[in-house]
Amino acid sequence: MQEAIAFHGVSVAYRDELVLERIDASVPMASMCAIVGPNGAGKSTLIKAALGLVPLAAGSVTVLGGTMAQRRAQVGYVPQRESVDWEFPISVLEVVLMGSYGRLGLLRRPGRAERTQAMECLEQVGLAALADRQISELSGGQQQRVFLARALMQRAQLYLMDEPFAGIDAVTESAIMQVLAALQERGCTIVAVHHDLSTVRERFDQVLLLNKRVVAAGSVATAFTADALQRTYGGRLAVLSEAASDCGSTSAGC
Amino acid sequence: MAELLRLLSLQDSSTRVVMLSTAGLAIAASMVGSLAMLRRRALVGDAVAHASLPGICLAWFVAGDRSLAVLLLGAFVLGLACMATMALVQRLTNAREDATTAIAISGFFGLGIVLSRMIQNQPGGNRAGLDGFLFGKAASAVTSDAWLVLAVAGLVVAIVLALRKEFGLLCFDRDFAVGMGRPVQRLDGLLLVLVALVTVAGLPSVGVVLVVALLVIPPAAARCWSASLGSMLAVAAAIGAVSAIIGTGLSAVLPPPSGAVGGGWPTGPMIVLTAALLFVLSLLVAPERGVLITMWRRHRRRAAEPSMGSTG
Repeated sequence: MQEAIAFHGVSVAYRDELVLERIDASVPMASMCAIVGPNGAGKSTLIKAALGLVPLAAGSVTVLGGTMAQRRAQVGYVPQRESVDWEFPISVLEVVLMGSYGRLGLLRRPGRAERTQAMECLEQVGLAALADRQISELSGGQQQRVFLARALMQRAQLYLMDEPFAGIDAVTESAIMQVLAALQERGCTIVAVHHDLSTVRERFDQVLLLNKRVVAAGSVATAFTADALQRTYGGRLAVLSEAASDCGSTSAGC
Repeated sequence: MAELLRLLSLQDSSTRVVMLSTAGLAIAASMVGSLAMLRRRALVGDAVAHASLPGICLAWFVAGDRSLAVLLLGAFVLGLACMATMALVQRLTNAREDATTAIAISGFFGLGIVLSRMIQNQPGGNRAGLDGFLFGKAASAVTSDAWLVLAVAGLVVAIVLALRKEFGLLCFDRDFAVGMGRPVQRLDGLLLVLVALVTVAGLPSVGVVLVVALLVIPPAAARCWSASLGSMLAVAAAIGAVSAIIGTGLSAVLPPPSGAVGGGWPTGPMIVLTAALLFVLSLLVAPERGVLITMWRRHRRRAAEPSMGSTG
């Protein structure tokens, strides 16, 4: 088994409109893959389709050699930060503990062992000091790191992340990069929706260029080309794609 | 006054049971209401309550037995039917959720009023006591009925406490719950059934029109005081219980309004008014987000401003 996740002819429709068309792509084990594309390209939808959050109109998804239903315990998820209400009455530690619910069953509550694990996860993202804070007190970057800690708590093999780098500060950015690198070192696979074209090369080794269909996919070295970016963004982002190709030639310039 | 003391010291055993059951019901409603509010389903209880009126009437027509249990079963069935109708309409059309809810509430309630008029025109219909279901009449409740309500409340509280970690996850981050393979749809359905159960169990004491208040006001008040789901459930339950006890007590001991025919103050409004008072109090004096503390902070900032302004 070489592929962490594979999409076989996946189509997704909202009402009558196709938002993803016959997606065929796969991500090799222990790689870090960026899903890149313009707004409305279906990046988040692709992740949600893999998780079963939106129904597939056609096709199937293979996860770690099985179906998502069989492999859920090995899949971690970092949703978009805006997807929850940060005024919710809950502490930072309690959010992280949610990552353990998958192995606890319906009635059992997290105990001392889970609390210790959750503190370790918070330490990894540099938030151990804020464990007892109410989540409404967090900054955007801290919220993002809480979600990452919760995903770490899931102890997964494959991590699906929806814009983990969106709207964050420099501290958070380096904290997240460290955690992701450590995960990859352990053999975990990371698939992340990513907006910032200029950082694709330094952070990811695989890329999936998406605009309702797969425009290009594979290693960053072969698939992340100026030409492919032009086709993905339909020529609308000429400046950015130049920046990306510059990145390739002079990586120090970024 | 002596009567109030006698009541509050719970010397009268039937009053004791009635008060206990109303308090138990308020606790259950406050806890389920907290979850419903966090899940943004606060008004589902109102729809169920209004749909219960035709349910009670239909049960009256259909069953020969007109005990409270049978009437409430009718209310429960129609309550579920109302929720199913709303869900179906939303799935099949583009109708907005608030519009669907409003239509369901008024539609089912209109049907209920028509049916209850038909019952009142029948022989024996006046004694059906349907008016009591509109505004509640706990102070005069029968002991066996009180035990029924208490049993339902106990069951609901037990389910909420047993599954509170799953409900918490469902309310906070449904997508994450689905991703982890939690039985989200069944939990969502169960939450709606719990809302329907407490709503229907609240009809005899608080009545169709006001029962939603028990689901909404204590949680809203508790929200001011709590930073975690556990404390929100506990505070909401306490506020609900206190409101129920004071409200039931007042309706039992206050002298009836002058010229009143048949009975004194209805219990429902008394409970709801007490809860509303506690809500306003919470808004004002709550520690972090209270109106008073916010005003005080603003005052402090303004007082500090001139010195900052002079440097600029």
